[in-house]
Amino acid sequence: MLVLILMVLAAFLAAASAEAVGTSASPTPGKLVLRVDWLDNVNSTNPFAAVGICEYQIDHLNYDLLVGFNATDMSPRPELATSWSSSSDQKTWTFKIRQGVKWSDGVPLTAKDVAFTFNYIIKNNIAGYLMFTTGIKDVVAPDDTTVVFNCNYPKADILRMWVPILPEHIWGKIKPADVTQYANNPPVVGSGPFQSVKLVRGQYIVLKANKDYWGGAPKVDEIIFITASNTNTMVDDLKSGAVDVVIDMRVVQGKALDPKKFTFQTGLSKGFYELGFNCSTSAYSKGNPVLKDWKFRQALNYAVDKQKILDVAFLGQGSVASGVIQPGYFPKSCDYHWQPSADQTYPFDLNKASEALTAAGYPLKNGVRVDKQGKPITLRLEALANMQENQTAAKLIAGWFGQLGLNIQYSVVDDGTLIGQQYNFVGANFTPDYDMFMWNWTGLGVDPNFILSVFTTAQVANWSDCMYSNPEYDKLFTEQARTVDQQQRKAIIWKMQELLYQQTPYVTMVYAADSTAFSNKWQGWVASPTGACVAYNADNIDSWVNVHLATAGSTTSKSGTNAWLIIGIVCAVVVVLGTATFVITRRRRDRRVEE
Amino acid sequence: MIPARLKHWILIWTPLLWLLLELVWYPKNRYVSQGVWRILGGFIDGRIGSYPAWTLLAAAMVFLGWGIATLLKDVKARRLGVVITGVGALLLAWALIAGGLPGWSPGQRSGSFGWLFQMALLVLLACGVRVWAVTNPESAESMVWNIREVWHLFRSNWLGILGLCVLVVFVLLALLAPFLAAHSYLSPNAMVTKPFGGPSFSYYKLFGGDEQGQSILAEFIWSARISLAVGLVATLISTVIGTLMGIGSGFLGGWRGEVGMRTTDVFLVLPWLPFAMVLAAAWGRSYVMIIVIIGVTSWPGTARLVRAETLKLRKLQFVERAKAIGSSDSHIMRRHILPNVFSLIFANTILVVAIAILSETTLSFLGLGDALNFSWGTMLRNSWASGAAGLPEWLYLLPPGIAIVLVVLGFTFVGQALDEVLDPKLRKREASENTRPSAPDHAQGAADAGLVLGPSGGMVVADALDEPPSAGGLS
Amino acid sequence: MDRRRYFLRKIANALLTVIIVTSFNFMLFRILPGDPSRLLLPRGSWSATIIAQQKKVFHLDKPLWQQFGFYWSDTVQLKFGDSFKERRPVTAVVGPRILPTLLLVGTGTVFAVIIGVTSGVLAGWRRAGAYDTLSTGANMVFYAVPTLWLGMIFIGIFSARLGWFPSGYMEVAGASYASWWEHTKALLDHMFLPALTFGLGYMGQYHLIVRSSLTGVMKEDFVLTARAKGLSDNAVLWKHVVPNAMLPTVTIVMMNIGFIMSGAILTETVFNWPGIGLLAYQAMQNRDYPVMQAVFLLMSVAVILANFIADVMYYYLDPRVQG
Repeated sequence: MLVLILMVLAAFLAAASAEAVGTSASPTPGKLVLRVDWLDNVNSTNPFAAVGICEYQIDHLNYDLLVGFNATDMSPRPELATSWSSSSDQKTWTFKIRQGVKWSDGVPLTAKDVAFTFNYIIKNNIAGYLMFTTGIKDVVAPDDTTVVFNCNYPKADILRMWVPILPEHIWGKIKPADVTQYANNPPVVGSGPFQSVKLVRGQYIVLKANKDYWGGAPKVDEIIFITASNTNTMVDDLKSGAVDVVIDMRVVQGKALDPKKFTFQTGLSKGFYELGFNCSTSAYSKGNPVLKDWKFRQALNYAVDKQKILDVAFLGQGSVASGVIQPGYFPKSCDYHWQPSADQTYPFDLNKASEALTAAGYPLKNGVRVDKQGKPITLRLEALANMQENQTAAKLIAGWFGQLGLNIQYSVVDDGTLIGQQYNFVGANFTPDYDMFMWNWTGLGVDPNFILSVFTTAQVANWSDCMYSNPEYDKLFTEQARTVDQQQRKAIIWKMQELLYQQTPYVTMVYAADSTAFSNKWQGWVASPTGACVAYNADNIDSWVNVHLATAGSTTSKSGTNAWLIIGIVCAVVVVLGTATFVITRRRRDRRVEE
Repeated sequence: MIPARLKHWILIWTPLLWLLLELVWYPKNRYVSQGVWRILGGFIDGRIGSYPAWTLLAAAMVFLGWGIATLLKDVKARRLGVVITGVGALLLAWALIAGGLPGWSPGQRSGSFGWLFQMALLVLLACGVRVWAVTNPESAESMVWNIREVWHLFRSNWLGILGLCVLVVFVLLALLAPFLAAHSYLSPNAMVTKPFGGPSFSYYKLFGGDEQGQSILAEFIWSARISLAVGLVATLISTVIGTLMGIGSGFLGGWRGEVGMRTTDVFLVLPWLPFAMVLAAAWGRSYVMIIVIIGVTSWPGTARLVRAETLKLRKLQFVERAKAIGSSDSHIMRRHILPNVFSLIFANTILVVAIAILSETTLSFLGLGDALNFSWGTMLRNSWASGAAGLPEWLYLLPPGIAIVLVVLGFTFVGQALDEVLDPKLRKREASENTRPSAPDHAQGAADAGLVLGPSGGMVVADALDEPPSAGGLS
Repeated sequence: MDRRRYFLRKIANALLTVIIVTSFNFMLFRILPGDPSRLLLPRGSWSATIIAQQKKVFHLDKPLWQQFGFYWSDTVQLKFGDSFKERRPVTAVVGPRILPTLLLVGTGTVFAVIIGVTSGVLAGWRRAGAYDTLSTGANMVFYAVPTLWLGMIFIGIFSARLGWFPSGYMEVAGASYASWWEHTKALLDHMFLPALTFGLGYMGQYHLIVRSSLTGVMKEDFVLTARAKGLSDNAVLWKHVVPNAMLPTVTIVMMNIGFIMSGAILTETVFNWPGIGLLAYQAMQNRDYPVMQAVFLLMSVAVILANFIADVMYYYLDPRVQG
């Protein structure tokens, strides 16, 4: 027992001293610190290893893009590039780079860094950013302030590439084969308004303001992003003042906050939630062959009540989806989001669904839906374990499809399992082994190029998870990628969304909403296009640069601890036990040897 | 010929068992609001007694084998053999029909005859018990007497009675669930209030709404089924494995005993929770998986207990005598060891159920349970994940937790009472020669405290010694 | 039994169990579905060379028995590979989490043992007295209460409603403390609720064991002898009864220590305490197999070690073993 107690005391002292050594020196009075809670977790400050949207956001705080995004409509605006022009055939683009910018280690930033970054991605096939660099032949920096992009065709999304510009003097030394493993440990060398200085994986990341930022020093001294494990702790932290901002609280909790002290905002996020099908036409595909028939898939649209899914599974947070490009993130003059007309929209009508299925050649036989060979149709439906909304929606969908006479086998799986099924290879043959699944897409940058590419034949067994293949769609995709004129491009993109709406490789269900909650002590929030100003938006980070306290002063974290309360409780318990021992063992009269 | 009491018991318990089975299988789409006839019709609904065909077939094989063996062995037991074979034949017929003719498949379930077969099966089993009592009057007498004695002693233990009452309440809650809360209230779009809506005096809103506005009361009532069922079935598996391993490794010496002990030790040290997580990641999440996991990780406790007991019994003289006569190992294990450890196992099992229920709560809380069903652990998980603890939504947090505490305490009290009743009395009577007073038996001490083995706290019966203590008395 | 023989036997036992468990660990993780080489890479296509490289790292291109060999040589060198999620060595991921868990469970266990045992002795000594009925009833409830639920209740009352304690974490993120004492105060603040939640269940358990063990011992002949000799109640209690009643308690405490890391999973998850338990839970959610494998092994070895220490202590505490 003594050994145990000694062990505990030793551990205590070790923990206390270890932490004291690891942190920075005594707290600076008057340091302005903004604390943010989110459910996400930053694993890496290496942009090439970024997986979650939170990591991209940190990357944009550490690094700059070439061309940024306006807060109100996400239209291009100068960031590291001050101006740009194109040749008459629009295949060559010239950007002027801002002068006087320095990396955080003092080395000047030049056009050579820009060229290096893009060439590195192109030459080494860095998968995460290839989607933005398709069509670029190479990038040249004739002098320190000019960058020239040579493209193979007029590149439509050249002004909307989400590529962080990295310092050549650091990244040039890293072998391309190892680049995703490179830790890029804090302090990160970047040109952005903040610098990551401390990362404790699974817990928090600390960013220090870059006082020499070309866009003006941020008004806070530090931002700390803290990983919470669930929404309970986030709400508590906000209410107690332990954090100032919470990202992704539930609507119920947000609405319960006192509006005099806190502000709660929701806004449509980028991307959508969908029910996806295995549309693979490969002979080896293990998906149910009825899903190859787009008429079958289209009929199922009538059996999905998107409004109900929004209300029940997403608790009303968001809006019903239609096209694969979400609304709200484009200038009103040129909104790429397509909305079906009133008579194009699929109403929720199980009878219509049944009729459509029968008309497509899948009749009912004794209450069971059969395929063209007369066999009952069984479809697997999978939802991800960590997505509660999708699971609820899947339950609803399983119910509706079941009423159509389809036999639905519903299961909850890990995303690794689903990915394994989708990218299943038997020997050299591509053998996707799934039927229906529920997932979502989140956008990086606002150019629709990437999400549209998911449905092309080229992305089957790559980014596509529905294995959709349609030559007509592929042609349209290539066309829009080369149409720089925005209005012309919009017309093509609308046609593509309409085609997808009809052919239904996905049933898009909901555009989900992000939420932000912050204490009214802080001001300077820059409104985002859809309303939740600092929810996960890696495209525009003005809010973080601009935020400041409403009344001047410094922040002090809650310092009052209850150590004395605890010590008091412990003493009380000891006293009680001691008294009891004394009293009970005292009594000698009652000699009971046996009972 | 047959003790009167036994006759009464058969008359009472057969219909009760029938009612129990009916309620367990009762279809979920018949609601009280639909009227009396619809409810009564539920008792002969096609879903009653829809066991998978392979279980019926397996049971049929067992009974047929047993019946034929009895018929061949003993002239006196002919009638019993006939009844047992009859049961086997009935099960075989049921298995064939349930599998579907033509094209028999082992997973398929019967259409509309389950209730008939089930009833016939129970009647036949009752006849079997009766016939057995007639052919073995002394055994029947002593069994009746033992049970009555146990019940008398149990009754005087007020904690045990309290526990029993609590358990009866919850078992009734679980069985009567289809009548107490319409199953339709569990589907995701059956909202009774807005999210986290408060309670009101309407029946389904008594506990308010959960994070999707569904009725917490309905979820609570239906969760009782899954929580209790998982606990009971998992315990059954665990006890069976544990007993077999315990008797086997305790009785058989040599390498077989060693292997048995090693296996027990390995499973004892496996951290069950990470093990469970790995299994769930591999084979998917469902309550069947949870049952298997709990069963597979909690048997070492029972095995250790049984093994210690078997080691003691092995040394007793009646076992020596049986060996001298030439009885085979398996015969001795079955006829001499097993009945003597039975009472120990029985009390232990009840305590293991309590731990199994706590384990199920843990596993469901971590998300390893079914996506479509509710258990108390799942309710706690939903409340935690949706922020109920931070709000705090007391009516979402309290009912499942309190129910778990009550059920666990109920099983613990009953188990402890049974322990006190069964162990000193029966063991002293059966053990014809007990050579010396046993030294403080740490295993027993721990078992007395109601602490047996199992995943929940990971407590282990203390039996660090390999052999029973060789001398009594301490200074 | 001869001391050397006893210890050698116990050591051999422990080693054998470690070997079996480690091998079991290997098999366990080979049955999991999903191609690890694909799982490690972000979604999308990678060149065939990179995939082949992944396969090499996990030796997946070799036959099973060779993989087993590599597994053993790696394990002995404490090379557990890289975490899928965090892309760095598993030892770096697991290492810093051990101390917080030890801190939490150590504190919880210490208080559970001290209070539980004392309470159990007092209850057993005067069985059916007022103290016994009250405390045993309370402790039974503590034992039956699910830890996770208790944790949620505490958060609801003490954090959300009263605001006395923080609702989770081990420290205020990114904070720097003026002095060692400040840091300790903050640590205590954060640790109180989790340690309490964790310890209450065990406290109930120890109370119950000690109490019933005491009752059993008190029925023994030697107690009667001691009283007949004229020893006072106190002497009988503390010098004779309690030491003998401690044997099962000691054994169970040591064995519990082995299981403590598993038990901490729930408490750490509910309170977001950055220890091994929370790591195991997160690794399960992320399907981070290397981490899960290491954690599994770590916990098993902890249990085996604790059992061995229990055996050693038993040897010195129970004279019958020596005799």
